[in-house]
Amino acid sequence: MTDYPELYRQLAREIVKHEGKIEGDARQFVAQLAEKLRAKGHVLTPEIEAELTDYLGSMQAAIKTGIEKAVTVAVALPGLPQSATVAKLTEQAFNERWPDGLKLSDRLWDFNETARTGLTNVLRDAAKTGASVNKTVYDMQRTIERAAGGQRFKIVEQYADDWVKELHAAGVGLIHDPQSRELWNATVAEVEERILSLKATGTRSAAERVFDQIKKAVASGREELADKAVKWWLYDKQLYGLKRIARTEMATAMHKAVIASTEDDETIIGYQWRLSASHPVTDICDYYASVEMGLGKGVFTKDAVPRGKAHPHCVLGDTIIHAPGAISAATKSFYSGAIVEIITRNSGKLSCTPNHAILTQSGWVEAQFIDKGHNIISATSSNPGAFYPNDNDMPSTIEQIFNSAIEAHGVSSITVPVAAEHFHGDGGMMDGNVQIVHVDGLLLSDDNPGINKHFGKNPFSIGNSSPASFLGDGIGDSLFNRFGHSPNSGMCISSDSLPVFQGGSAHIERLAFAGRSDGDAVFFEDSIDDDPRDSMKFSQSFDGFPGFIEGDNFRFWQSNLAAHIDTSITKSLVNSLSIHAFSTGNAVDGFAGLITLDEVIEVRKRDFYGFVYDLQIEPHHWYFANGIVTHNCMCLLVPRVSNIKQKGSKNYADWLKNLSPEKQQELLPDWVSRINQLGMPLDKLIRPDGLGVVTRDALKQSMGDSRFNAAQALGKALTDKKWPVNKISQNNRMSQKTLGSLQAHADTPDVKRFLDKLESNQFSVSSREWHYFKYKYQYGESIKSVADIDARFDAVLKDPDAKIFNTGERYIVHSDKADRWAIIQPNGQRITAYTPTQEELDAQGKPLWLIRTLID
Amino acid sequence: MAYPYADRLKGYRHQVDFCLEQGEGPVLCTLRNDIDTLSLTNDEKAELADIDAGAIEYLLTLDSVAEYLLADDDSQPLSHWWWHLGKIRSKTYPAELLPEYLRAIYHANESKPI
Repeated sequence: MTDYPELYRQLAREIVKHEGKIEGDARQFVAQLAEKLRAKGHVLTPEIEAELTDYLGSMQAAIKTGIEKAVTVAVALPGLPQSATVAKLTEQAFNERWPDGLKLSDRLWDFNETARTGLTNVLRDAAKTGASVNKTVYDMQRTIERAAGGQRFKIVEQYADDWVKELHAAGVGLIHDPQSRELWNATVAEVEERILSLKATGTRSAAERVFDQIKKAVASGREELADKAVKWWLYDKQLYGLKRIARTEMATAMHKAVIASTEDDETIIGYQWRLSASHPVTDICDYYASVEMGLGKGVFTKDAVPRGKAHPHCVLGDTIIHAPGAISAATKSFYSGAIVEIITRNSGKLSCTPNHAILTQSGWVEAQFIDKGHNIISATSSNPGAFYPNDNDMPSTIEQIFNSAIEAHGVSSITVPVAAEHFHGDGGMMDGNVQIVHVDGLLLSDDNPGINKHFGKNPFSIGNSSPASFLGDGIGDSLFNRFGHSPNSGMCISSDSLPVFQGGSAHIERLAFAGRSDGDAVFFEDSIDDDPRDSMKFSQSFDGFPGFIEGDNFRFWQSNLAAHIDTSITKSLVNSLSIHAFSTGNAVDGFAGLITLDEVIEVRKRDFYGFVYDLQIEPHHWYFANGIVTHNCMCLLVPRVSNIKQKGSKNYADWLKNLSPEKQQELLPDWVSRINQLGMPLDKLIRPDGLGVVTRDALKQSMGDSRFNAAQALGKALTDKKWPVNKISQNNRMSQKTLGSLQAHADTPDVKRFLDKLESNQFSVSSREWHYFKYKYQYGESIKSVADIDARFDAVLKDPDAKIFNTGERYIVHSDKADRWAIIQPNGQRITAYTPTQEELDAQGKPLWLIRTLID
Repeated sequence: MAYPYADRLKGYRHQVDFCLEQGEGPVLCTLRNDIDTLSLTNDEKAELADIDAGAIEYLLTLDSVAEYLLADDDSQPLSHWWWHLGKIRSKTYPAELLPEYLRAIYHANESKPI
């Protein structure tokens, strides 16, 4: 009998050997494999070969369908083309490796650049709408599972760890043959030891789970339970693989989305490569940060902006840490890829990701560039000793530090995706997530006090965190977890929420994507550049530029940003950027008695599969890792909005006026936009210093409550154009008259459609539509379309000489010019607009205001 | 098409047909009161009865009516039902004071919350 499972395993191994890059089609590939297998003595008939070809082809179809489904999920957005986009992007997602389009990710199935480009476009939209990666992943997995044959784990079965297979085999053996208990016991002992060695890896809990399940299956004598345990083990691994693909690709896509979503934004002039205050290594970042393209130092034009980042810096969990300062944050990421092991003459040994910066005699050098013979700075002893009197001088591993931080009271942690292109490719070896925990929320730069002191006015209305406790005093978990964090030491989160701070230290998920993977936050207060308007246009309901903060929703108040930035903060920021220049000197000079030059005697590179960690240390941003001085680095790519001075504008109002009306309305907060639309000039809505819009409270105070409320209601009626939906009572004689008039015109297509619609909607109808048909067909008014009803309303509200009356909180606005009055509810909802009789007008009495005096 | 209804009742009709239909009627009471002082033709009287009936029906069938309409002016005679719309809606208005053409409608409908 043909052992198909074995053949499938052989097929899988062959694919892996080619790293997924298979030349030719499925038949050719299988034919080559068959030749090899026959040479080894396998008997492969043409039928078997055909079966393998068919299997490979169906796997391809399943994966393609799975990805197509995922793409469909991701692009299931209103207004977007569905099938054309999906088809196009699916094709892009599969490259020429397979003539009919099979694409293999280089994580698991070797996606190449073409596939990534295609998925990027799709995932950009998914990122914009906050589509769930997990859902996408599960959709991919389900599609693969549901494909014909039900053998979709075969391709990953070869990845099942040997110990699992051995344990399963020993367990099944014992179930069928009690005599094999000795083998079972020996296997269990080996597995226990194996699992203990997994403590630094993320698979430990999964390993313990499958171990426990198989033991229980054996104890109950049920082979099917043991099979099930292994199956779920494989499922988890397969899902993990898909998740890595999806998250990595989505994270990559989001990075591109940050740029892509702002490319067409006229307010964004480029992207600034901002060096972290603790940038340790002279590398590509320094070049990027000093580039001059006419937009300012370090600011790239949109077409030239680098697509990648540069900051890898992680060490393995068992690294012993001594920190010459406070640990302000820790990160943990799952990593699978090459690591560098550096061994020194003084028995120092450090394992870290290739770009982790290490202090050498020549300055900070990335680990991958450390060679035998280099002298690195290390501690004079394996225990550098206490730097602080209260330190108990008990060394901890970085994993212990991370776990302590994450378990500490009042500390929040968040998990954010990282991009494959981040970490100079090290991010591609991560599982797409970095877990970040802040110890105390300290900011890295000295502007913390400046922002902090204004934070008390923060209008957050959710979460239990008081503004005062948010920065500096601790982190409110709910607030942190929902909104991410403030600038500098903050990380952004993978949610749709946008953190908003008066003072402008906003942190935007998509924009901060560039920052979050390396542990540093996007610092949006660009006071150092004399441009307080670092903010962003967001794709959803949050408009970011210029920033606004409202009390009842979360927008970014640029005006407050500008108000809270003063020269002392600017100076401190400038100073903070110089910190890195001193950090090397600090490390050497400050701890001269504790450190020494240590010759590297061996550098090894190996693969690693597990968690890696990094710390943020205040104030020097470096620490001893296994006695070797290492550094973290947090440079950023920050989208830059156009400097109003660059646009030739005198001030903010002037700048706003230069934008198109649509853009203006887009950028102004709703309540400002309403009053502006009503006729209040922008100048009156701008702060006296010209740096932003006035606050709502300030305007309300200057106008008075009644005027402000009236202006809001009228403005909202003008901008929102909302009408109530009424249930027409067929028994009411007034309605009957209207319906009777419409029935008399039922041969008119317009009317017939409306009557049919009434019936099908059980006589629920927008009053706007109802009024149109009533005015036209019952009262004989000359009116062309439903839109004219709105036009009537608009004409009244756009007349600056229109009189405003108030009855029972309703606003009745009468325009002689439009020869109509409009009735508006206090919430801005439109009620009706018609030509009143003189008796109606007389009955109103004296108006309270004209529109022009209302907004004056 | 010429205005199909009586001109002198136009404002009141507006208040009922365009406004009260949506639970509003900024000057409904005032206009109805003004009409009460007019000498109407028979056609106008018939039309007025029709509009009044429509108003009562709305008051007694709409889910919500603006508060200002239901704030009765007790300084006005009770027989001037238009100043006591709140009582009508709550069915606490003495039905015998209503004109006969409105009484039937009043009795035919349940009270509504104010």
